[in-house]
Amino acid sequence: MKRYIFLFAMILVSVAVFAQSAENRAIKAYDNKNYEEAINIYDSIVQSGNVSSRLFYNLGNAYYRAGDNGKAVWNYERALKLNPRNTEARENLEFVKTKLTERILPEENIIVVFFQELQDLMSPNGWAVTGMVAFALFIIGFATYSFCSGLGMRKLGFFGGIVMLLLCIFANVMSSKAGKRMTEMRYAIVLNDSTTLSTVSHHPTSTAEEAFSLHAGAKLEKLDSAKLDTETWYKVRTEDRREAWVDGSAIGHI
Amino acid sequence: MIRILSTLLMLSLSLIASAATFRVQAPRQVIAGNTFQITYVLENADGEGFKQPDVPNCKLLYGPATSRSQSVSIVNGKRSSTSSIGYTFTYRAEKQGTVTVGSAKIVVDGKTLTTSAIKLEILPPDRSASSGSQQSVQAYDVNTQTSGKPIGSDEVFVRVVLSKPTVYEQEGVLSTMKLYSKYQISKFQALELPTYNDFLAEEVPVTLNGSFENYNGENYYVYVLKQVVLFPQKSGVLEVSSGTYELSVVQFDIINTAFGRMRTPVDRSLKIKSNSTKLNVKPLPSPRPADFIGAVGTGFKISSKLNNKAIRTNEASTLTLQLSGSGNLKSLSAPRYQFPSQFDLYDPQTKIDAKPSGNFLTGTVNVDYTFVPQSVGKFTIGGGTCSYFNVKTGKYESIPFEGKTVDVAKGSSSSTVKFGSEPMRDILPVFKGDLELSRSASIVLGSWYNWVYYLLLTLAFASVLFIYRKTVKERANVTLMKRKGANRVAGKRLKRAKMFMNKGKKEAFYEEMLTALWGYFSDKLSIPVSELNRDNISRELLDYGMTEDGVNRIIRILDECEFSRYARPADSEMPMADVYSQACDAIGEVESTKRPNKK
Repeated sequence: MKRYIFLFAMILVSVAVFAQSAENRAIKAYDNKNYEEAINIYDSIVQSGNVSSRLFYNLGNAYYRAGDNGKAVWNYERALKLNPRNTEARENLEFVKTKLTERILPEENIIVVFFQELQDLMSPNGWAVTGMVAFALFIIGFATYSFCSGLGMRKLGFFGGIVMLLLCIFANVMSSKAGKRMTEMRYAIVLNDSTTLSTVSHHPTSTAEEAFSLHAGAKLEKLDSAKLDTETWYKVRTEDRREAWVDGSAIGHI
Repeated sequence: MIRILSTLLMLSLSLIASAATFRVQAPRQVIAGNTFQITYVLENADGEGFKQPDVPNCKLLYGPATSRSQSVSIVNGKRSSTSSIGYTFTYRAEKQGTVTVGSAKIVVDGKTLTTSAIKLEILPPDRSASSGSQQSVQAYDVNTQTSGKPIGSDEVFVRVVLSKPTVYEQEGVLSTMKLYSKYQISKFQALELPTYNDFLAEEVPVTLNGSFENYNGENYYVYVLKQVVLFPQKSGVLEVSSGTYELSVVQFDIINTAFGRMRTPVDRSLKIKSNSTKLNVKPLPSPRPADFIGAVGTGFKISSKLNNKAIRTNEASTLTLQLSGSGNLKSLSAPRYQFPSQFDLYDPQTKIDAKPSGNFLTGTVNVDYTFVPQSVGKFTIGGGTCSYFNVKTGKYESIPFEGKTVDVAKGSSSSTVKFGSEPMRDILPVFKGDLELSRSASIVLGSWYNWVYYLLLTLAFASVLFIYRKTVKERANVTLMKRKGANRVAGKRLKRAKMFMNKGKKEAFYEEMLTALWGYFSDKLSIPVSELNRDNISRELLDYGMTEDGVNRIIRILDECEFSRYARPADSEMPMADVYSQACDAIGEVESTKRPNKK
């Protein structure tokens, strides 16, 4: 038993050391303007399954420096997906978007934006913990109402308890929404310039006459997918609400 | 009194009465052979010694015919009156040409008033009318505009009039679209607006006023529909079309009745096809100078101005270049300054302020160059020359614009300070600390411990509630709560009563005491105040477990309070302090009595 624990600890440490050294090597390569190498190292970390918002942020920076704005946007979006409060990633994303060949301005609804920002105040787990604390406070409030004799205390317990119960429900809804956003792969980014999108309504074709093209960095919402030969095609909606089919190899999933 | 009032009234009337005016009413155009009237109107005065001017080329048929009119209006209670005298002369136009009618004179209160001189255009009569054909329609003669007559394309049509037949490329030309009609127009609508392909068009606002015009020997009502300044964008023979229109003209039904001939207006609608006019556009002479900015026109000038007094590093300053003149202001490219490489530049902002006048747009083009110096020192912003094509001389002309020398002082050292509005110049640096890698995000919501937490907390609370359910029930019992709270409520009231006692307010004191006591017993015995009386108080209190003696004492205090409340001070048997302390004692006694466990 002891041996297993030791072995397990060894593996953990070695993985950590590997990751640590890989991070350092990537930073070094980046500082030496060797962006391709930095990209390779970061990519290998992503391949190993260990991810974080900061990792994608650094990878986005490396892609931007290497001149691939489409992949830079993709990685900033991935960084923001893991942590919507990563302000550096947001600022760099906005900056890189200004460098894109075309920029589609999404239609923004002020109420939706407000709730999005409210939701981004905390991580899904932060919201879940808030909900749990609020529930405990609700119980305490209810207990105060049940056991206290003072009228003031009972009122406080009653109304405070109701507020806390509402907060608990709200926080759980927020947690569920934020969690969904973090785990769902609903969006994608166009990676290659002049990617052709087929606008035939029901099935994808690669040689469609009805088509339009998008440049790297455009954000897409995935609606459906279909197999065509060996490739997967996705039915997508662009930010200016056009629907089309796109080859899966031309997009990066978020 | 009445006299004063009437004087005031007269005064106010005279204040409102307007000043005397003298003016002339005459047509601008008449047609030779027709009669017309000129009326001189004197308002708000009586004049004498009226003298009319001569009207050349015309014969006076009748006049002056004098007419008087008076009008009174009351607006918002203000009374104003106008009186006018008109002297009307009837003439017949004899010979065509444009004549000037001089001023008429009149003497009012010793002062001579004159009208302004007017111009009168006498147009030749219609060629068709003089040839004696009865069928032809004349714009000035309603009797010829009978209904049922076909309307020829030479009777109602639209024409495009260009101010010049030949222009240079980019040189402006004023295009006027005129509607010619022998009939009066009652309705008008554009079906297809003219399109100006190969032109840049700048609309000139027009007012739709009718006037007479002699065109091809015929007289027409003429309306200016649209005016645009056109800037041809390429050379060659270009076409300017007029568009198609739908309109209604007025013809007259002439009916012979017992009272003579009557005329009834009848609307007739028709469509007018597009006419077009050719414009010959010459190319600009070659070779064009290298510094040609595309400007074609006259009188171009350049001035420049630095908008900041002191120029500092890391602070934005603006150099404004102003190009003024007449020509194609909207399609020229502003000249460029040469900025030193130590300056960061923003995209120049161009503001055009131009209005159409004649064949041109006249106004200014302002170009704002915003720059941020990065280092201290003396720098030169290089000027140069630019040239434009002068359409008057037909030659290219060069205008120099001088450079500026600027002294850059040290600005705020915090070049790293980022302002909210300042755009980012580069991405933010990479994150060099621990990346906090993790295999996958663990989500608390929906996990087993999340459920267990909620379940446990609920269960724990429910069991506590179950165990202490008696206590909870007691708390939830409103009657019991009231009973327990009775002492506290009474205590508050007694406190207020004590306050009144200290102030010596007897009546208020007793009232407060009574409220306190009745309220206390109502809460304590769970009997509404309205049903409370001495009998049920003593009965309930005995039930409650109090002694007979105690109950009697309580009733006595109640009596005492009620009696003393309305009695004079001398009558009160007990001082207020005693009543107060006894009431407190009584309540204390009730409180300390243990309730029998029977209910």
